[in-house]
This record gives sequence, structure tokens and C-alpha cells, in this order.
Amino acid sequence: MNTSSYIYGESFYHKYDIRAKLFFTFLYSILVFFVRSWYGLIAFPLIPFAVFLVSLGGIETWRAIKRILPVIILLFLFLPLQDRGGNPIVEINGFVFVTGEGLYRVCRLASRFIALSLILMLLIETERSENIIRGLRFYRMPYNVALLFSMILRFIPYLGSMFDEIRASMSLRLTEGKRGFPIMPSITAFAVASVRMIPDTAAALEERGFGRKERRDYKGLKTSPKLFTELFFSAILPIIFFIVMR
Amino acid sequence: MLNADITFSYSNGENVFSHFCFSIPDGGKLKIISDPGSGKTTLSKILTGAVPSYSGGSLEGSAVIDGENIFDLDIPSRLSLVGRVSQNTDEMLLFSSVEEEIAFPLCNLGLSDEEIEKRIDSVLSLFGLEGYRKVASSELSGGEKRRLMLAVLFAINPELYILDESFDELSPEWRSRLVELIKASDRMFLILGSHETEEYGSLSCRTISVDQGRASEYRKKPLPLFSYIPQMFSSELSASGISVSRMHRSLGNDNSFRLSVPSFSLKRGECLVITGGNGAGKSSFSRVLSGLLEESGGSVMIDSKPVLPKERRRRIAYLMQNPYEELFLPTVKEEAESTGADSSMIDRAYNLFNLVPEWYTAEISYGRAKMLQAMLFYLLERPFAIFDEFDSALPYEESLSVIRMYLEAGCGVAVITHDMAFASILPGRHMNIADGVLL
Repeated sequence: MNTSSYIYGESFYHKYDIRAKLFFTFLYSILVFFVRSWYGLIAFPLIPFAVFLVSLGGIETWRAIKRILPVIILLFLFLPLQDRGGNPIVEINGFVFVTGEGLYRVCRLASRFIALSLILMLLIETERSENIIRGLRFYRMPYNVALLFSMILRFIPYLGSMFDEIRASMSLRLTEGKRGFPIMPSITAFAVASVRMIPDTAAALEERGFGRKERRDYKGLKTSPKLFTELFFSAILPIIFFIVMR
Repeated sequence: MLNADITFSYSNGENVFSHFCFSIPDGGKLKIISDPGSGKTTLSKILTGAVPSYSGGSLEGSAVIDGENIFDLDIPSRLSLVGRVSQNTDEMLLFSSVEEEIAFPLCNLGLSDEEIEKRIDSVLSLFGLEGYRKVASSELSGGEKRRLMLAVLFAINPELYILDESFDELSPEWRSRLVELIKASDRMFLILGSHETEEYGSLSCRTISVDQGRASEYRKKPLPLFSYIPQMFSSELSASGISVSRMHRSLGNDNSFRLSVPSFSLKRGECLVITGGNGAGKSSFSRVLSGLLEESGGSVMIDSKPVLPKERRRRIAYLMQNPYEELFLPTVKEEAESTGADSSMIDRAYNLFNLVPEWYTAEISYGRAKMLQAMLFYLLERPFAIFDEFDSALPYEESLSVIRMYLEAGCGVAVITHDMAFASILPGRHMNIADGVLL
């Protein structure tokens, strides 16, 4: 399960201490769930979007958006239909397609989804996974849980890249006269490859000694004079933003 | 010293080993050369413990290293005793940087930071990976990944090294260097291969084979002859002014590679051999030709007409290094039928490629997976094909018979290989990548 999620950079967010970055990510992810106002729903995804843009540039930001775009489109296409009680906004021949309440609910879901996805992608694309593990260990997270957490964070983009590879390989196998790419075989292949990855990854971890009692950490995090300042900003900025926008 | 007597069968009743006995003295080396599917990879996984722990099956017997039966130990406890380089490197890479990949098992051995640092520096230099320390392992080429896996194993330095087809994907220079490292080591080595390469040959050690689950004497085969009278057609795949570049995203711009291809041509019915070092860009160029990667400059043409990547995918078969990347369906039969070929042709192909329709693709060996991959593109009847290190994990006879079948069907074949002996058997022109230029 090796995916290249980290992108080298010299931005302020790349240089931000991992302990402060983790705290900011965690706090921001929690606050997203308490936002109710329309301003907040719009503003909360915009902050990680702006940081993404500044830290990783337009191309990488677009790549990140492209990854979550299908889910957002599906949300807006189907969720309003699920929630048809309330003030109708779009109604055709007496059939209510969209209500004000339904639209609000889907916007809230989309806002949370975008904000959460971007803030997590921002973390893994600006920080090497070994540093994420070290940061989590700083917060006294047990090593196995920190390793698992780091792998889950990389598992998501890995699945994306695996699906792209399968699509590419599938496209080489298209017979004459067929267009597009075969969706069902691709999904089947994707499911098989994902399931197969579990024992392979577990075996590889154990063969490298995962689970041995004598394990010790390599290169712990150094004490940094700016850590306190960065931690302070990581706490105060999201809270102020939340109070203003909620 | 290692003494092994292994009997193993999978849960489905398939008997792999029946009192497969062998021994390796302290500091000794043993080669096992046998056909794909004979159980070499299963043997390596049995010794590290991945089989039967993660596959199921019934294991009997023992493998004793320095008086300790390793079958009595759990997998992590075997770390300092036995380690392997997998045939499929992708399944063994877990972390996001080369440094972390090497450091992980060393941390699990409980070594100090200084010792870990020392070993990382040493193996990076040993395998020419000094500039890749912070690079994500997924950004390495096939040969570089193989060197990384070797670096991990040499950093752990267990009592027994298992090299499962580990010479494959390495350039001739690295193959020779690996032989020197093996010769200089005082550890035990178990070297598994499907054919004896020039480099294996220079290792003077005992060689055995696997015959119906038992150890048997290995009989060296002479290099086969390749008889083919070229029947070239006028149809031609060509490229001019192609430039391909790749950046290591995890390292910024510092370590990118650039390949330039001033001109390239391949006629239908022609065989062309492409060689070059690890990470030189052979696979990237293949991806450009087959339409999987957009070229930075230049154009790819068929019969002098520029062809868009989408169209190239339907005209040029690309047999990737890792065959599992091109297999999608549960059984060989379903894979074959997905090509849309008629049943008589499919039945003929099963015989030609030595495949059984009922086999599950997830369970076949790496070598068999390569044959299946080749059968599928054969059935698709593409006019051009690129074989990316197809000879690895297959006996020469099988690789050559596949290439001959493609040529006889009128396909233009480009063969990428690191095995100079194999390259010398093939007919036709040779091209080489040197200093970032394919000439």
C-alpha cells in the first residue's frame, strides 16, 4: 500500500509544526459539525481550500477537488429527492423535486464533506506519514493506533490511484467498437484488489517485525521554540472563526 | 545452518510440497530454479511465515536455523532469522518514503537511532539510492523498487536471505553488483528463479529444482535458439521528437528524470529490443506509446498519421511489468471471454499459453499471470505490442514462444529487457537508453 500522498513544498503550512497541524486539523474537523448558518456552511470549506491553494498551488488543488467532485455531484443530485417535506422550491406537475429544507440539508452535508476532505488531504499532502505518526505519538496515541491512523489516511488516496490504474489498464483491453470503459469489471477488479490488499499488507507488516516487543521509535520530534505559538494559533483561529460564522 | 523438510498443501487440497528437503550450510548459498507455479514463492512465504498464516493450508515438517525450528515462531519473531525480497515488490512497500521503508524493521528490532542511521546510510549507498532517501517509494521505477527491497533486507541482515526472482528488473550493472554482494556475505542465501541467468551462473553454489513437490537435481538447459523468419508488413508505428519527464512529487524538482526519443519506429512483424538502466524511462516511454501517458512533446504515429492517446490504447498492447495490474476478473475463462474472441480461438489460446480456464486469477503464480496477460492481448489481436520485462519470472522457452506467436501473427513487438543473454537470442534491431536518450 504505497502511495505518494506527500508533495514537497516550502509553504508555511509545510513548515507548520506537525503537532500544531494535527491539533488544528482535529479541532477544525470537530467544529465543522456545529456550523449551522449559511455563511458558515460556505466559509468553512473555503478556509482549507485557500490554504490548499497557497500551499500546494492550483493544479494540486484542482486534483483534490476532482477527487471529491463525484460525491458532491451525487449528493446534490439525489439527496434533495430524499427530503421532500417542507417549502417546495422546484416543483413540476405537482411533484416536489427540491424543498428549502432539503437544499439546506444537502448543503450542510456537502459543506462538511468538502471541509473534512480538504483539511485531511491538506494534512497528508503537506506532511510525511512518518511525521504524522510522530505527531500522534506526541499526543500519547499508542503506536499501533498511530500507525493504523496513518495508514488509513493514506488508504483513501491509494484507493483513488488504484482505481485510476485499473481504469487505465482496462482501457488497453477495450475491443474495437466499444466506447468508454467497462464500469462493472472495473468495480469488480477494484473490490478484488482492495480485499486482496488486506492480507498482503498485514503479512508485509508482520514480516518486517510489526508486533515485536523490543520496538522503539526512530527520530522523535524535537522541541521547537515556535511550537507554543503555533499551537496557540491552531486553537484560537478556528474557535474565533467558528464563533463568527456559526 | 538451515535444514528444511517441508510438506504443504493449500486448503483447496492442492499439494505443493511433499517432504521438500534441502539444507544450506552457514554462509552457504542455494539456488532453486524451476518452472512458474512450482511453489518457489510459496516456499519463501512458508519460511517467513506469511503462508499458511495468511493463506490457510496445512504445513508439516520443520525448517531449523541454528537449532531453532522457525515454524514454532510467529512471523515477527522470525525477523532476525529470515527475510525475503518478494517477486512482486508492490505488495511489500508500505511507507511513504525510502528512509521510512528501511527504518521500520530496524525500529522493530529495537536498534538505537545511531545504529538505524548507520544502516540506512550504508544500504542506500550499497544500492545506489542515496539521492532517494526522502522519495516516496511509489515514485520509484520497477528496478529502483527492487533495489529498495534489497536495501531493506540487507539493512535487517537476517541469518537467511531469500531472493525471489530478485535479479529480475535489475539492470545488468546491478545484477553483477548483487552477485558480488551475495558472494561477499557470510549469511545464508536462498535464490529462487525460473531460469538461470548469466549472473546466477557466476554464483558457484548448489542448484536444485522442484519436481512434483520434491527437491530434484537441476539440469542446466542451454540457451534456446529463436528461429523466426521476419515477415515485415508495411504498417508502422513511429514516434518523433518525444520527450518524457517525471518529477518526484515528494522531493520537488531535484530528482526528476527526462527521456528524449528523437525517432522511433516499429514495423508489424518486426522484433525490436530495448535496453537501459533502472529508472531510465523505458516503462514511461512504453506508457506514452500505448497512450497511457501524455507526452510532453513530439508525436506518435501509425502509418505516418498522428494517433491520439485514446486510439493508441486500442492499437498497441502494453504488457506491464506487473501482470496483476492487468488482470481483473475472477477466472482465466472470464478473462479470456472478456476479450470478445470466438470460443475456438480462446480454446486454442489456452493450449498455446498453457493455461487452464478454471484457474482463479488471484491464485495463479506470477509467471502464470504473465502468460495470462500475454494470452489476453494475443486474443485482442493488437497490431503492435510492448513486452515490459516479460522474461522475468518465466523460463526463456516460454517467453520466446510467446514472442514468436505474436510475431507470427503479424504483430510488431518491442521487448524491454535487462537480461542481456535473453536480448542476444532475439532477432532484430536493438535500441538502448543512455544519458536520457533512446537511440
